Amino acid sequence: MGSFGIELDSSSMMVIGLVVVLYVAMITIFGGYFARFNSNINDFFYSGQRFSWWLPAASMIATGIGSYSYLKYSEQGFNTGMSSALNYMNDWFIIPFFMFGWMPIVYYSRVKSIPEYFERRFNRTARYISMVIILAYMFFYIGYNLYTIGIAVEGMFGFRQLYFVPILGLFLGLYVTFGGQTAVIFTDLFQGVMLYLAGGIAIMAGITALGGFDQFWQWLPTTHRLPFVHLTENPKFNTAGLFWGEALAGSIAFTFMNQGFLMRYLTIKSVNDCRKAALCNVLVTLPVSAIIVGAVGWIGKALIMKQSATGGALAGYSFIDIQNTFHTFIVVCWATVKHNPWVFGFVIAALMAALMSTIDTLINACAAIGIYDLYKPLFKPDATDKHYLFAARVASMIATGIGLSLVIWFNQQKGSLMSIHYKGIMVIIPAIVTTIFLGAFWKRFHANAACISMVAGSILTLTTVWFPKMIQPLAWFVQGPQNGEYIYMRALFGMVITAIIGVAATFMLKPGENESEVGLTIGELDQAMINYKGSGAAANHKVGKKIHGLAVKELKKFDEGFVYLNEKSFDVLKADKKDMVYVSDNRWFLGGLRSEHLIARLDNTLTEKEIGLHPDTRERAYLVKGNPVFVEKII
Amino acid sequence: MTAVVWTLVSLVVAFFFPRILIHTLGEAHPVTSYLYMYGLGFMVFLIGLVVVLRFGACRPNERPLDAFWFKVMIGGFVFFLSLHGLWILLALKMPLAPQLTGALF
Repeated sequence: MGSFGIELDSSSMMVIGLVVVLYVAMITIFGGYFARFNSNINDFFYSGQRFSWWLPAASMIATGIGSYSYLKYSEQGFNTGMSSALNYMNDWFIIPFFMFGWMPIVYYSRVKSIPEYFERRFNRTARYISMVIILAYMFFYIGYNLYTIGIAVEGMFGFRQLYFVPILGLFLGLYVTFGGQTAVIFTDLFQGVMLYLAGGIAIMAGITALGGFDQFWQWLPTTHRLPFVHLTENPKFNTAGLFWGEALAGSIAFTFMNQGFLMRYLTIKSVNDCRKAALCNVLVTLPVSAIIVGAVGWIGKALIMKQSATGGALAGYSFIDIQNTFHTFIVVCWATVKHNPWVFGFVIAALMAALMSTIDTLINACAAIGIYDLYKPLFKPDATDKHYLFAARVASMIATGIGLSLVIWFNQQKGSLMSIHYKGIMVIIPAIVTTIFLGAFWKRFHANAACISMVAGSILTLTTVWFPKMIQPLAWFVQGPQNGEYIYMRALFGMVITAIIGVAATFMLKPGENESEVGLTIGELDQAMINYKGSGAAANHKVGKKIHGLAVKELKKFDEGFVYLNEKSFDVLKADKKDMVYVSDNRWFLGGLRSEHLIARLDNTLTEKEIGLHPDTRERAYLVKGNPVFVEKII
Repeated sequence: MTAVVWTLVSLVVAFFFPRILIHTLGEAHPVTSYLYMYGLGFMVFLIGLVVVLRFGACRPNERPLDAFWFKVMIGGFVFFLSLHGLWILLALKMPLAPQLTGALF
């Protein structure tokens, strides 16, 4: 064992490098194919709200798992056991607020980004304050991803991060720049499968090395078997802190303000499908991902315990010695695959896939904010789509550059990967998370109060980095850890202080001149649905059936943007005239890639096996001439 | 007015519930962490349900899909509660390797 995580001979290095390069080349070509579905700037970022729930939900696997996930959770799993999975399994508490509050508000109001919501709900000042905070959050994640892949490569090959990470960053910037959101979604779908497959291989290899699952469970100390860590003991990882900091502030941040996830939801065809995607993500994807990214650490602990008890390396395997816990994942994996460079190369390619799939979403999201919140409103309000597409690509490169510069800061931090991560995040998110909450769920909360609470809340939260004792009374109140290191409790402090400032300012200050748009708070969702439909009709909540296998009758006499249906089709769909209907290619596996939302009109000259469309409408929906379609009432 | 009442009730729960837990079971007991998470988590979850019902964002009595999703939300909470409860039970009750027994926990 050298000074790095593992020692590789030159032939192993070549094989691993070859597998990774082949994989990256393949995924880039795959993503390049889907770039053709970006005909305008809306498609580039949002894919035009057209996908079935399962496609973005599956791509969320790869979005949620970053390169940092394997390293961070394996390290935490090795140190504290299965409680490392808690961060992925504590999101349900906020589900009602998300499924029936924030998600429909954002979806029906067709908000493109959180800063845009802030302008429409409050004013332009609020928009730019929120933009600064959200960009800080995303840049932090880009930097953290690059930093952790740098650690992995350093652990394997000994390459200094200083040289490797900028080259990687340049490649990733280019990769995202030319793909856009459709490419991101489809490559992430593929990469999600890769992540689970490679994670599964690493886990199976570890379990086999231990002699089976029962051996794994028996050699895992009780402390490491438990899903919860001690309530307060460990200042850097404790249940009380995790509840307030991670389950509440962290989960809200990840689901409510993570532009990458939000953009995934905005690609989905309906709010009902968004709920299915959210359900799949929280109930299935996150718990499975928790195992995939953390299990190597748990296995590593069981292996070390068994090695110590049996007096040396396990039969047929090399001795496992984890000198630097940052490298837990690669050290354990390399040993348990018996130094097979092809299998290990595949697992490392998955690590690369995790990096690419997370960072492409983040860079794409940063570019979306850069264009919609900064460039378009301030510099070029009326440019062509071609111009904005070019600007979006430049913005992607800038976002990558800023993320790269943050790697220097990460390198100067001490502590576990988990604590380094939350040290930053728990300072950035509390003020904006609370302001979003107050804005969405309290109509009276006004622009002046929003601006003051975001600025003052952020400053006071940041102040606690130098004066942590400010957090102590609150930590005492909820019986959290009171030890001077308040990594997670800082988020609770930030949320409480922002809420107090926000409520006080709402009552003490005048609302200002700007009137909030209707449909941006939870009490105005009915109006938001009417606005969304655009036909002036109220939302239709009757549950109808989908009609499959319909032929498209394409005539210029039909108006653009409408779909014409026979009366019987209306009955089956339980649709009324002027309802919004979704028309899609009949092939389910396309996931809505060829589809469009249209307003329904009656035309009894059509048979019940036909729909009528204007030729341009068919083209805009990417529907293939002659192919059957299905229709579904949306709202 | 209702919001003020809910805030006060939440503060009372956030203050007394952890103290009762720690007093009864002690900080180190594995079930303390579990109940802390799900006790206070339930409070947040319940407030969420009340908010979406009260503002009419979720209308289980009027909209069939809302009724379905309302049940899903409650079912999901019960699922995670049961999953973590069972997990603790397995962690504590299933035997360790003989060499580990007593030495590490």
